[in-house]
Amino acid sequence: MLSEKELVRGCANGERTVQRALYDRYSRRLMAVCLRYAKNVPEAEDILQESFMKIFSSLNTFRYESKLDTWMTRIAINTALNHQRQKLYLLPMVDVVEADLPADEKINLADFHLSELMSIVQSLPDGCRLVFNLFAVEGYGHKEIGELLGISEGTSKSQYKRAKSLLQAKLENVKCSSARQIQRNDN
Amino acid sequence: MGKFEESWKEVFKKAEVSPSDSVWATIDRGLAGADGKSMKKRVVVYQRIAAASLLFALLAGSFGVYRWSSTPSKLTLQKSIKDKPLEQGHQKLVGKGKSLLGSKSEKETVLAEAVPTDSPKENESASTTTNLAQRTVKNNFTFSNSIPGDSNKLKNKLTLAMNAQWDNSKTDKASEEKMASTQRSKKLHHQNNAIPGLDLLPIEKVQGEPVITVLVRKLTAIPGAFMNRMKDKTMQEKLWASVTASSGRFTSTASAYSNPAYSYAAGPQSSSSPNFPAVNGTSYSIGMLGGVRMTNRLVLQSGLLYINQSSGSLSNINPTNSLASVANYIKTPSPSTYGTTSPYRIISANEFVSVPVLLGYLFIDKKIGLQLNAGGATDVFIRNTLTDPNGRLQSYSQGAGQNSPYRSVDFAALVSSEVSYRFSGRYRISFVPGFRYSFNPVLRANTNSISNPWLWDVGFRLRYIIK
Repeated sequence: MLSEKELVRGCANGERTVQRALYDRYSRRLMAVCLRYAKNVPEAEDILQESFMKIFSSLNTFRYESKLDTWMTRIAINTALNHQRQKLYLLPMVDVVEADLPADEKINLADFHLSELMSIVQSLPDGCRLVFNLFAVEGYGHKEIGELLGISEGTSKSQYKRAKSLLQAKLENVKCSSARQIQRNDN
Repeated sequence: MGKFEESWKEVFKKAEVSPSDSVWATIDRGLAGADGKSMKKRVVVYQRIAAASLLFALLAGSFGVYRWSSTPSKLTLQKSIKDKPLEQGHQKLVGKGKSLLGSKSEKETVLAEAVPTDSPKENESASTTTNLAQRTVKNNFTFSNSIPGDSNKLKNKLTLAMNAQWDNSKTDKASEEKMASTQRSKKLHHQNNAIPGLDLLPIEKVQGEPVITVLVRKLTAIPGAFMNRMKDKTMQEKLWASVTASSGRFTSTASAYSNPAYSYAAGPQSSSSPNFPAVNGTSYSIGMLGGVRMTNRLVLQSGLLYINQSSGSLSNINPTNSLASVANYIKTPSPSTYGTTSPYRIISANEFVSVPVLLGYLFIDKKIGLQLNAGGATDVFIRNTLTDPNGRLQSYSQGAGQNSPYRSVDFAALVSSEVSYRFSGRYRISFVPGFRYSFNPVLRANTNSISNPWLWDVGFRLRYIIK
């Protein structure tokens, strides 16, 4: 097993075997990131390809100031945001009316399969999905998100609330349909 | 951050999803394209360096040739400037210079011997300084009034353009003899009022009493002889033998599966992935060359070189105890028959015996020399050795032959330049930067080898000049 430094050095030297080793080690994790930001699998794979090309071309600038996977994830997120910015330019985000949110306690994500959760996130509108990923998963503040996406802080907040509301509704639906399915199977 | 966000973050924290195989295939193509672009850029850089070197060599050569060809005339000019114009009364010539010296060209080199007429002191002084001189006469001699009291009859004065002393003892001796002759002539003149050797001069046109003995010998010599010596000097290095050593790096395109830079090590990363070679390595060579000068500027060199080209790489073929399985994979690269393991480093070294034939052009051929060589080489493959740098696995070598995956004979193009310095009369040491391009991949075609390496190296060459 090659160390992180050996991977970085080999990739910077253009050794294809090492590049492949790096891809094998991190591609699944980055694919999960790309899927959260993309609408579907082909789009996620496009983002993944572009991310790895950027990673290979800029690995010689990696200074070990952070962990390699953190650095790579940041590149993947930036690539995904660039993809989505084009859509956002065509369909800019706007403030939405706040909805009444159900209590957090009602939803337990452990009851869901990863693929179900991924599909639910992908089904969100583009703006909501981006803000949700950046705020809830990556931990950015609304101000930072606003700067990243070129929107106001308020818009980010309202988009997030909308995303949260939609997610909870979708989770409820999935939960109900699963329960019904189980019931049918029992009968 | 609320519970909602925390739970989502936790879910996606360690989420992993396998992408399809096509993703890596696309990335691989993209990387190959990028490598190709960088290789093209590198080749362009090399081409520019080569063009600049050639231009520099041409300029240096032209300057050298110009200097070489213009040196004698400059010498003549300098000497003529240094010469004092002959004073009236000191050196007076009787007769027609033209007829005496001949009229083949406008410029003729003559050895003039001037005989003073009036003052013995002046004569001595003149004889010690400019008694034997090399003269360049333009068109004809210029005559002027030179004998007091007889200005209408004898208006001849020869203006000599050059007055150079001979710098070897032989010439000095000749000079002394001439001086003695001059002295004798003078005495004779005083005694008999006659001039020895006067029959050489058109004295019938001279009226009055001639007082000067002129030009006794025409020299075809000095500049021509000087040039001959130069010529001999350039032709001295006709045959030589040299020892040479060089080291450098080679690089290949990203798809260089087979060449002296081939990375045998990389095996199948997975059932769907092919092997991936290293793209650069190091090389060194030692050997002997013989050279012969074909013409004034063209030289031919050939000899025998040992070349070693090694590259580090990675392999993931399960090696058990030795690297034989990696070597076998090169023979039969079917991923399904070889087990894989975590990538590990190996070093692959190819050894060749090479017979280069180089045609060189001498731009500068002096104590410091500049030569541009181009030619080809036949490389005979000796063996390939795979070694583990950590020493855990046993090394494995395989040679050439029908069952070998390596070609027995390869061909390469060579371009190099030699900047040399001659010392001790018989030796010349050269600094030799050069390029080598292999026409054939070192691996046979059925091993998917598709690219040829570029090699650049820097060497030194010590030449012994036989004759």
